[in-house]
Amino acid sequence: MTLSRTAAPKAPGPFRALLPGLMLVAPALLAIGFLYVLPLVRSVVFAFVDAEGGFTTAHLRVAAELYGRDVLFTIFVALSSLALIAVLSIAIAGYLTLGATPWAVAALRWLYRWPLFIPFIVAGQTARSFLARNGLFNSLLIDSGLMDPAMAQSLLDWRGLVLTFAWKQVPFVTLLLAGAMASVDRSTIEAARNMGAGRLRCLIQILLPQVRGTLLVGLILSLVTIMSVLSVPMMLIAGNPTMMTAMMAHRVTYYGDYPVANALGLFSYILTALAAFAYLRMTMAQRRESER
Amino acid sequence: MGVEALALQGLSIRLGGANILEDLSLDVQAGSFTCLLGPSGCGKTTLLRAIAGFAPPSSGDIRIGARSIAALPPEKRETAMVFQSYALWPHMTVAGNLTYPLKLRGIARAEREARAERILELLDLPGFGPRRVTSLSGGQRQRVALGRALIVDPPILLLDEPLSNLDAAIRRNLRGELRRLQQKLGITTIMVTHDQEEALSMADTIVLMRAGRIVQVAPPEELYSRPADLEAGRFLGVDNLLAGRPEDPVAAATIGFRSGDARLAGAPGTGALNRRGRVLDCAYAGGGYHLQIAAGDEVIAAVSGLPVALQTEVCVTVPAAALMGFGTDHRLLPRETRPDSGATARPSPELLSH
Repeated sequence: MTLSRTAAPKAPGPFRALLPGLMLVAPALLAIGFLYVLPLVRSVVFAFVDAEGGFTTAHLRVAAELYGRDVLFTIFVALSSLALIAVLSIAIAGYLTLGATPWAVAALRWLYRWPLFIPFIVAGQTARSFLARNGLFNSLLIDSGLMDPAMAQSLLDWRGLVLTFAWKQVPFVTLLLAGAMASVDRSTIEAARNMGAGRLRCLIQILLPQVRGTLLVGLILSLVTIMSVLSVPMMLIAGNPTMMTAMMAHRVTYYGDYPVANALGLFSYILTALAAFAYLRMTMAQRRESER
Repeated sequence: MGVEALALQGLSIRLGGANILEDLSLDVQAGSFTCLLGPSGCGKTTLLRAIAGFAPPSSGDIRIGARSIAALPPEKRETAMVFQSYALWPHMTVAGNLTYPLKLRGIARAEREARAERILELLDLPGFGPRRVTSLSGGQRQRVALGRALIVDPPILLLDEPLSNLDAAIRRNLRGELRRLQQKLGITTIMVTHDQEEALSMADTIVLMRAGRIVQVAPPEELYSRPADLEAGRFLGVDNLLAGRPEDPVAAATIGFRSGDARLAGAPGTGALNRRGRVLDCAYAGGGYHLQIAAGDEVIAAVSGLPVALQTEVCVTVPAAALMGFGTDHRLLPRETRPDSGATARPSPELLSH
């Protein structure tokens, strides 16, 4: 009697041991599975399934044939936007961190975030009235005598897209970058200045290398945003070529052609996945380095 | 670049309405090792940062040799600073950190690498060039930081508490190493520290600071034996401050001495300060015992080689040479002796050498 009472309880099976843990993660796991993974897999699968349910690459071929130029145009616009975003946000965050005029830094800090709170569709509308042939931008140039009225041209093409994406995403990347720069050990900057480096050199050679991970994260998140925005290309660009999102919407709205839209979607997955892969590789390398 | 002197003239710094430094003037001789010593918040780091150009002065001038540098940005001053946190650039290797200042000066790659190697030899870190700075220990990082400052052959070396983040043993080692290196290179050096032992053992001249002002400028021996006032004395380890009595060998409102100079004696010593009292506390402190002795309403700290039972009546005696007399204004009085107790004070030639 006493023996059986003091004997250790039977060890639970491996599944019983896992059960409480599984129960805890189940809601999150189910939400990700049903709301994210399943639609993604479905859309990838449907890009390869024909009307009879068999495997086909016809949708991909149609998508590449009809919209190949749009895919290239999208890549070009996205990369140009990212380059502009990177340059502007490094400049703004750098000035916020290294600026020597307190009132200018305070004013910039207050101003630069505004576009964060403006939705893309409003940004598109604003850009339309600003960048059109007789828009505010050209009027300003003409009124100030910097441009001949006959030279005025509409910027509502790839340039308009790049400017609008940059205008909308620069505050976001700057926010991340300025935060990272603020947490860099200030004495590393002072040491560089003490050794003879001017402000610009400090920014490029000392500050930026220490926050390049954050810059990359900001740019990758911006890339994903640019690849997914529909309103801006719809509002800014009338003709061909245009961004892939506009073409997917066109395919679905006017033809009800989900397979080709899915095939186009596959291209954007691949593009963003490449960026994500580059990002993961870099963070892994950084982790290995810090562990060394 | 040659060895140059540094001069501060009427330097004041105001930050947010508060005076951090007030009207400081100081001459630092070329090739000397000067320590800025003081409690935290006394402005010593601000003074160092002002010399480097990171704290703009509201008035006054800073000169290196004959040049005024007060209006120059930090990158034009050519003062080499070693930071408390080392401030090595984490994205560069050891060699990268060492050669970056040379790169800024447009020196060719081969020359840069040769100089980096030479400085690594000098700092006893041969072969460390390709290592990442994040893989170094604190002492190694500090040496690389020092090498980075020395590699440009600066006229002035500024050290901001360079040893305070290190273990005691490494600190003692580096202290001697730093001093020898400074003497070998003969570079004008200014070091900030709050550690009086560090300042006393390393400096040619110590600048004692308090509340944004310079209290005393003196060689270590003089500063230690003749602190300018009561507070300076307290900061420098004068832990006994007693009200003067007519029979004491020094005529002063307050007489100060260190507990290490106070001994127990069977009978009062002649020409010495004597107090009778009762032992309140006796604690072992490695190599001897620390005593707390109640003498009237004053408590005297003394040391003894042997333990003493509590409440024992003892006589504490301090030789006249170890006594410092302070006036009613708390300033140190010129050294004077009273050959026999009760006689009026008679100034005698001051002897600073003992």
